[in-house]
Amino acid sequence: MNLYQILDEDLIFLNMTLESKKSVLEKLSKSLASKTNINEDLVFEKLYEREKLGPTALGNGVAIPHARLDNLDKINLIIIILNEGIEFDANDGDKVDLIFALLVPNCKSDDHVKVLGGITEMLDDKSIRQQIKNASSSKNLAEIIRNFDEKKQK
Amino acid sequence: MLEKIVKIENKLGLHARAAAKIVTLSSKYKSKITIFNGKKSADAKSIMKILMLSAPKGTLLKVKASGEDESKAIIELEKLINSKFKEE
Repeated sequence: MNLYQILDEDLIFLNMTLESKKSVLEKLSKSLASKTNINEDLVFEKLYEREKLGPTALGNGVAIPHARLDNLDKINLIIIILNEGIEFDANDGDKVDLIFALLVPNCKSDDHVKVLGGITEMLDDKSIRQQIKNASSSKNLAEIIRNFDEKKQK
Repeated sequence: MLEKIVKIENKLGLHARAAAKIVTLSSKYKSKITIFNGKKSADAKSIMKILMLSAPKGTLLKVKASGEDESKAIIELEKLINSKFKEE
């Protein structure tokens, strides 16, 4: 499963300043609602519920908030790069500044796991994390992701 | 060193919360625990590495443990995975 395939440049937000996990979840909900006919409050509720089950921070400044929703026709990846890291209840205690959120149709569990695999493989690489933080535009970030996909396929 | 083949049977596959449960359990043991999906391998104490395995329902994984508490570790991990991570 290619990450580039599911990428939408309108859902990439660079240089964001958000103060809390709650503001991140609100931003994600608003962004998804603007792209689909799904209610913003419902998205927030689902993301919030998932966080209550256990933090989605993975260490190294990365978090993957996610939720499954009915009425979605495809996987939506929303990327938020923060200017300053925030508390995200990470096990390593580190602050989070790279947010790769997934909103997934209820029936697409296999794709969900595959996309998670792709995202974690990319973000496990310190140099790619740095490139992503330095991205100059949404387009530039999309290019970085496409390069990663292409290298992986070789 | 002990190893065991296990099958991911839960509908959602090896998703984030299931991976977190593996990390929590594995971290209780001193043994080095590694999980393999084909050529890919992951330290069972790292959630990032486990998610990199990309294992949907039906995937066969190999679990290897080595250390003083390896047999207990492998039995408990097998139980967790076979219980479908207690989510179904």
